[in-house]
Amino acid sequence: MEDQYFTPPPVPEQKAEAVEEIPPLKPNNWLWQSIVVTLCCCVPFGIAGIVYAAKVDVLYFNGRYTEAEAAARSARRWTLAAFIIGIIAAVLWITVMSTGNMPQYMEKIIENNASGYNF
Amino acid sequence: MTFILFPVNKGAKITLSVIVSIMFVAVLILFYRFDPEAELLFPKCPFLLFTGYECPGCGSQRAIHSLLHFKIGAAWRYNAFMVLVVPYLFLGIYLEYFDRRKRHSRLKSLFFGRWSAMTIFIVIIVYWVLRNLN
Repeated sequence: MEDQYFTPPPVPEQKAEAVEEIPPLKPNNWLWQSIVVTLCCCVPFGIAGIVYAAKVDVLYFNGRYTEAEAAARSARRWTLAAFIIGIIAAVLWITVMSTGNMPQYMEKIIENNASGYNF
Repeated sequence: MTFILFPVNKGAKITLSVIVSIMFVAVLILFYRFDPEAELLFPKCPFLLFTGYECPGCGSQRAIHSLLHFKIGAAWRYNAFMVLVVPYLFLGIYLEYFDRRKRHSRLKSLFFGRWSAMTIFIVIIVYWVLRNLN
C-alpha cells in the first residue's frame, strides 16, 4: 500500500536539463585582428575574416554553438592566411627592391599607373 | 606554426609577448624615421599596382607615418578609415590582453560583437567604393 504514495524524486532529470542549458564560452571572433590584416596585409582574406567574425556572434547568440565554433575556426584561418600572405609579400617586395632584380613590366606598371602612390 | 602563434604554457606566452612588443616598437621607429612616400623599400599595394584602384588599406603606411608625426590632417587624407580605426584597435588589444579580470566585458560585447562586425564590414565596403569614385 505504501508503494502508491511513493513517487521517485525527479531531481536527477532536472539536473541533467540544467547541465544542458549552460552555454559554452563564446569563441573568440578575431574581429580586430582581421581589421588589422585588412588594413596592412591582404584585403580579400581580411574581409572574409570580418564576415566570419560577424557570423560567430550571430550564431552564438542564436544558440547554435557548434556552428559558432566552426565559424570562429574559419575566422582564425582567414585572418592567419591573410597575415602570412602579407608577410610573404612584404619580404618578397623588400628583397626584390633591395637587390634591384625587379622585372621590367613591374617597373612599367609603377611608372604608368601608380606614380606618387604608395601602399 | 600553430605552436608559436598559440602558446599554451606561461613561459611561451611571455616570450611571445616580448617578441611581439619589440617588433611593434621596431616597426613604429621604422615608420617614424622613414617616409613611405619616398623610400622604395616599403611594400606597395598589389591591388593598386594591377588595377589602378585603391583598396581600403591603401595609404595606411603613409597615414601611420603622418600620425607618428602628429599630422592628423595629412593622415586623414591618406587613409581616413585608418585614422578612425586606430583607437578602436587599441581598445581591442587592451580588452584582449590587458583586461585580465574581464571588468569591461560589456564594452567588449558592445564594440566587438555581432553588430560592430557587420558595421565594420559595411563601412569598409562603402569606403572602398567612395574613395575610388572621385
